Amino acid sequence: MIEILDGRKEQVYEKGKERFNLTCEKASLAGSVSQRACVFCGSRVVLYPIADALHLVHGPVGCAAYTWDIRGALSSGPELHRLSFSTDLREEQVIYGGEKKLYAALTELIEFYQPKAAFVYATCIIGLIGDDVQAVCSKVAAEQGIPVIPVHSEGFRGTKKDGYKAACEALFRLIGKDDETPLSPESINILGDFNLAGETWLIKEYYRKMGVEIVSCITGDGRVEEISRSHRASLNVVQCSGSMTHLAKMMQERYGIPYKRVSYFGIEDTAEALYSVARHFKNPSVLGNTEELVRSEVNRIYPEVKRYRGDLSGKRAAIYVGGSFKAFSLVKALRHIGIRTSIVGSQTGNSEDYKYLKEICDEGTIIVDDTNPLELSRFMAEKSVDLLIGGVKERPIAYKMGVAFCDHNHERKIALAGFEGMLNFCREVYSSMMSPVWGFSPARQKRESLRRNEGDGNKRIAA
Amino acid sequence: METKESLRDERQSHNFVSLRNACKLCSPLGASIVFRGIANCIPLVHGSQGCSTYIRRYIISHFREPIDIASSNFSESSAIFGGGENLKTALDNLTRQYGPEAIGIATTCLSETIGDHIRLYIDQYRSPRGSQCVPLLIHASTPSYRGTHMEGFHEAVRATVQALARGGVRNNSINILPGFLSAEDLRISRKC
Repeated sequence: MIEILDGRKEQVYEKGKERFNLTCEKASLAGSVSQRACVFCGSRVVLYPIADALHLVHGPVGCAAYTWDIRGALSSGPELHRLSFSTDLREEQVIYGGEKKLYAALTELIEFYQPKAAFVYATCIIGLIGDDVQAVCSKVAAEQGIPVIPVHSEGFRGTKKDGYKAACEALFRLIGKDDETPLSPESINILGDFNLAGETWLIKEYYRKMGVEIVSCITGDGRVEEISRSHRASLNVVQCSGSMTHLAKMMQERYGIPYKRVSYFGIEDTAEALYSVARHFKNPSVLGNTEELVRSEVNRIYPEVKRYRGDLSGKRAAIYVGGSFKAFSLVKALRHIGIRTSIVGSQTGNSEDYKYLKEICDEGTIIVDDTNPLELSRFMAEKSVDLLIGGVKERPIAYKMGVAFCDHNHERKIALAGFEGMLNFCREVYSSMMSPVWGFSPARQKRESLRRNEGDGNKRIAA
Repeated sequence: METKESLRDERQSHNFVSLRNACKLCSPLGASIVFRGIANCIPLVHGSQGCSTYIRRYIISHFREPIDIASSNFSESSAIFGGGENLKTALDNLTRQYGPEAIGIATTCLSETIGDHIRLYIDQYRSPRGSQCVPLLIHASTPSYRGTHMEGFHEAVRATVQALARGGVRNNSINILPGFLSAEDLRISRKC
């Protein structure tokens, strides 16, 4: 069994065993095989769903190639965001500067694709050679007549979280351009929902039924025009708080728009999200609509959810996701179907998040910050879990260990948000957990025989 | 004659500066494939955290296998003052956690451009410890702006042979240097 590295000991906590003192928000330890990515990745994934903007990666080919079509963020119209554009920096530009190439590439792409705006991502190497990306962007913006916005996302500048911040700052420059289009007083912006597998559309439909107008879904099926008038909405509703709270705060400061942090995962949290928006508007008809909506949706899905609970009750799960807000919702959603969370962790949680996580978890739950594959598999074996919820990098770990898996990351193909999403989530967990394929997994069989022996031992002791 | 002329025009008008939907990847990925292909060797990408995580994500999705690639995780200060300390910490931690027989270090655009002297770092790391306690260290120079994953692959093969081959008496056997093939292709070519 592997030991936890010295530099990481304080990022692991087992509830009930020790005093709570979890360290977080620090740079990953060199050599620890962190699951985190870099600043550039943070910016890229947040801005990615803006479908009618051009996203040009100023740097070597890798940065653009690895983030090509990286999110399952769907668009109802243009799909420019799904293409990959790069300045493909070569040795020559590293020596003599890449500004000329950036200018030529930007001009050529804007003329060809006619986007509504362009984002230019600065990668590690740009930070080193010191290209004046801002100057090139301003020049092209003036010539082409569209906003061209630099995103300062040099990979070494910090963690993925700093990338979110850079993305928020870039977005902020798009906001506040349109003061004309009339808006209803009950209007909101949806922040931090990325329309994975069409989730934003589900959420939008709920708000429509409630009688709330949506000005802009900034980061899901996003449009430049909508974003440019988003400063006139009455409320910002922030999901995936890790990435977009910074923008919500900036909008509050500049435009006086209050914001609410919500989550659309699980029955409880979805209902609470919708109610909190309804309560904000103090409009009895909106509140009435919300009650009606929640009641009918819960009635619709609950019988099926209950059926799954019968078979899943008493199982154990491990959760390792990017943002901690999602982890909260998952712990609660799993509890709904009788599954206990034995391990939970995130890449980017802060100390408040972990405190809350500790509150809602059972005794003996292991909480981890910025874990790595070796630790994760050790804890999964120790706690003998039946299910892992994670992303594409965690999937094969689960399968190798004979553990069921549910993809809850940005590459998921199934909508997991909202009431409908809860149903999909249960189906997904159930079908992976109950799959007959585990009959062929040696790791699973070994674990089950171990459990049986344990059970026999306990019976003998009791006798 | 005329057609040739128009063809040339056509080609010129498509002489793009920007790269669109590229079917090439960067050189540390090629190197990581090589290092991961050696039993008990672990790749270490010397640069920002993203480089290794992205390369991992890509290779994991392709092979559907858990594949660990470490990073020396540069911060802003390592970009300014050099990544020597990070490299040493990474080597220590990797050795402790994985107990590998070899560690394959692939550089990135960041570490190459700031001029990190990897061979010097390796020597500094090895000399106080004695070669017995340290896994074999292989170093491939793979800045992403030079070549593609193919160049990275070949550079890593070259570096590995240079680091490990000791020479000796030749016998009746062959080496296969198959280039960038998948593990399944290799299995088949071995049978042939």
